[in-house]
Amino acid sequence: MIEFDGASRRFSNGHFGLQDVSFHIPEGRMVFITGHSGSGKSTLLRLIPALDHPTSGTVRIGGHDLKKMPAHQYPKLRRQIGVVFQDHHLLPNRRVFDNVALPLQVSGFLSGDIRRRTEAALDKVGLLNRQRARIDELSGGEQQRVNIARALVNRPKILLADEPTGNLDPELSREIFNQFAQFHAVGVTVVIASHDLHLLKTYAVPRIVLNQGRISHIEEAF
Amino acid sequence: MSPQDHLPKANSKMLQPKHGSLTAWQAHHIRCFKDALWRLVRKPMSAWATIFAIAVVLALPGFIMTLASQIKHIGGVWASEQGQINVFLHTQATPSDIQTFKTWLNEQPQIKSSQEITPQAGLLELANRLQIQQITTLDPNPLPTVFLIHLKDPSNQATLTLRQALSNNPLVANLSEGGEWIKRLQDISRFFDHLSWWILGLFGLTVIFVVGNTLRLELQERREELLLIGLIGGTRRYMLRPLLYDGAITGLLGGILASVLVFALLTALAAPVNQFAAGYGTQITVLPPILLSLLFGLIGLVLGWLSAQIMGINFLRKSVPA
Ligand SMILES: Nc1ncnc2c1ncn2[C@@H]1O[C@H](COP(=O)(O)OP(=O)(O)OP(=O)(O)O)[C@@H](O)[C@H]1O
Ligand SMILES: [Mg+2]
Repeated sequence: MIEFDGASRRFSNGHFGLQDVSFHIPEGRMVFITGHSGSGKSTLLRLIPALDHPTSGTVRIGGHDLKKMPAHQYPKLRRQIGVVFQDHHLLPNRRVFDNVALPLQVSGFLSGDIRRRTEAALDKVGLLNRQRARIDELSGGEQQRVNIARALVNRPKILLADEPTGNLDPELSREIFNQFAQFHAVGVTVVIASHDLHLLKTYAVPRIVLNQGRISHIEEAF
Repeated sequence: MSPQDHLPKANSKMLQPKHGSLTAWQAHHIRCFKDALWRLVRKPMSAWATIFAIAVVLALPGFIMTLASQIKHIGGVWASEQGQINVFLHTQATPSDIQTFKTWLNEQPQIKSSQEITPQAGLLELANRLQIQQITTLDPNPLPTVFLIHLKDPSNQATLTLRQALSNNPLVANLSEGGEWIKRLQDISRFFDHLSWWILGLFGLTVIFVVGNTLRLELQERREELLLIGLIGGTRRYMLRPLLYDGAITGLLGGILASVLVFALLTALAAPVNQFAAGYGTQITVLPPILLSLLFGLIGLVLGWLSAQIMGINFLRKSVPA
C-alpha cells in the first residue's frame, strides 16, 4: 500500500530531511513512525499524499509511483488520504462544522451527506456540541480534535497523523489513539508519527524508528 | 511487510466520487454564485468601488461607439441624398457615341437608374424655367446631353471606381456630385470606428487590470484556504471557481452600470444633437436600454471572468504548489 524505496529528501540548503528510507506498509496495517524531534517524521509523512517529493528514490502508493503520477491526479490521490497535520491548517474564522466539512465539499458530496458525515465525525471526537463555534474560540486540544475529525470525515483509505496528540491530555490522547485503532480495525491503513513513546508502547503496533533522516530500526509488534 | 498488495488503478472505482457528482458540482456553482453576491454586501467598499471603476472605463468607449454609429447613420442619409451624379457629355458627342455610352451605363452594377436628358429636352426645360419661348428653336443647340445617374449605394467603394471611370471617359465633359463630401464623412466615421475599437481594446485591458487587482487582494486573503484545499485534494478548478464568479459578477454589474451611464449621457445630449440631425432628415437612435445593458453587461462579464481566470491561474501557479 505504502512503499518507500531508497527515498531521500534533500532540502535546498543541502540538509537531508530523509535519507535512503525503504519500507513497506501493507494495506490495512497500522504503523507508528517515531524518533526524536527533527528526525524526519513530518518529512516522511508529507511524501505520501505527494505534498512533497523525494529528491531521489521512489514512493509508491497502491503500486503507483508518485513520481510518474501527473500532477492533475494528485487531488484524487489526496482525497483517499486523510491527514492530521502537525500544524493544524484550520481556517480560524470559520465554524467548526465548515472546517470539518471541507474535504467532503471538495470531493463533491451532496449537502445532506455532508451534514450527516460531518456530524458523525464531530461526534467521534466529542465536539458535536461545538460545531457552531468558530475555530479561534476553541482551546488547542479542541482544535486538534477538529483537525482529527477533518482527517476522518472522508473515510479515507489511508489515515496519516502527524503528532496527533501533541496538545492533548493523556486521557484524551488515549481516546484518540483508540479511535485510530478502530479505523485500523475496519481496514484503514493508519500511519501515526509521534514521539509519545509512553503511549505508543501500550499498542501492539510496529514502529519505524527514525534517526536523523534514516531508519535506525524497525520494531515489530510484540 | 511485503510488497504484494496494490491500490486499484488510479482511475478505477475507488477514486471516483461515490455520489452524484453533477449535482454536487451544481451545488458548488450555486454556493460560489451566492458567495460572490454576498461579497457585495460583506465588502461593499472594495466591491462597489471596483464596479464603479469598470462602469466609467466601459462607458467612455461605449459612448464614442454610439456617437460613431450615429455619424455613420447621418452620413448614410446624406449620401443617399447625394447619391446622384450628373454627367455632362461633350457637345461634340455623336448620337452613336451617346448610344455607346448609354449601353455602357446600363452595364454598370452600381447604378440604380439613369435618365437621359437630350439637348432638346434640356432646352425645353430651360425655356420653361426662363419663360422664354423662342429659345426652343435655338440652332445649333448649345446644350450638352446630360445623364442623371442614381447610385445604388453611394458609400460603396465600387462607386468611387465608377466615378473614376466616368471622369476618365473622353465623352464626359463634366461631373457634378457630392462625392467629396461623402468621402470626407466616411473618412471621419471610419476614423471613429477605428478609434472606438482601439479604445474598447485599451479600456477592456484596463477593466481586466482593475478587476484583477481587486481579486488579487481577495486571493491574498484566501491564500491559507486555497493551500488547505490543495492539501485535502481540491482541484485547481475547484479553487478557481469562487474567483471566477467574483470576477464575472463584478464585471457584469460594472457593465450594467456603464450602460446606465451611456444611456444617461446620450439622453442628456439627445435634444441638441437631434436638432442638428433633424437638419439632415434624421435623428439620433439609441439602442433600447435593455439591449444596451445586455450588451455592456455581457462585455463586463466576459472581461471580469477573463481577469479572474488570468489572475487565479497565475496566483495558483506561484503560491499554491501542485
Ligand atoms: N523546508 C525545509 N528546509 C530545510 N530543512 C528542513 C525543511 N523542513 C524540514 N527541515 C529539516 O529536516 C529535518 C526533519 O524535519 P521534520 O519536520 O521532518 O522533523 P520531525 O521528525 O517531524 O520533527 P518534530 O518531531 O519536531 O515534528 C529537521 O532537521 C528540519 O530542520
Ligand atoms: Mg514533525
